[in-house]
Amino acid sequence: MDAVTYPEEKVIDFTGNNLVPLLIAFDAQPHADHFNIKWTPTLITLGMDGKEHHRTVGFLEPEAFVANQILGIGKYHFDNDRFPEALTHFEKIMAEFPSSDTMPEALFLQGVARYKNSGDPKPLKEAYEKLTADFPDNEWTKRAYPYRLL
Amino acid sequence: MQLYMTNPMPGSEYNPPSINSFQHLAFTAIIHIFSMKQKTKIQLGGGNKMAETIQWSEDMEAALARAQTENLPILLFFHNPG
Repeated sequence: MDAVTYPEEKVIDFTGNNLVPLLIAFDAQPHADHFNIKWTPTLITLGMDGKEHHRTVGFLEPEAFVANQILGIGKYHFDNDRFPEALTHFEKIMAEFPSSDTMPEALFLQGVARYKNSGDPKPLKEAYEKLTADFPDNEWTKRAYPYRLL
Repeated sequence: MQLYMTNPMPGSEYNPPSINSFQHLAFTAIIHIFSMKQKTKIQLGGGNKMAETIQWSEDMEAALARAQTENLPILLFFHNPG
């Protein structure tokens, strides 16, 4: 990460403008135990209250890093019932990182956030249909399977 | 650094334009100005939007305080310093 991902300008700009970056050694206590750290690099999106909202383990190249941080910020808003803000971030992944590994989860959560925001179940079925078409074997497609009946 | 060939090989189709001393001076000045701009950009640092590296905090409490002040989530990176 230090050699490939963090020196990238888009990574520096995105992190500097959207997150408070915090660097901690994998064995530093009490944080290592509190977050159950078993391997590095581990990246966690925390709310301003210190609660965890998203986690990745292992190397991320620059594009995947930025896409994952957008997903993490979206989940941070989603978990705090700020669905319009969450939607903004999930839709940013759909627009800018459509072939990334974060896309299926963003699609799933976009459908749920739209439902939560409007009370209309139609977006859940739309999410399932989009997942089935674009990511037929993905685990998020399987999780959306019940929405086909809506 | 050799900027141009003064004596192209006989029969060569490559015939580079010659550069007079005024053009050479202008070229050198442009390189110097570009170099100074790059140095200025690096010196800005310190959380500025033009920072050249990620400005990591290493203090959880300070990061939480900053997150509340700036209304931003935290990116917590557990690394192996060894």
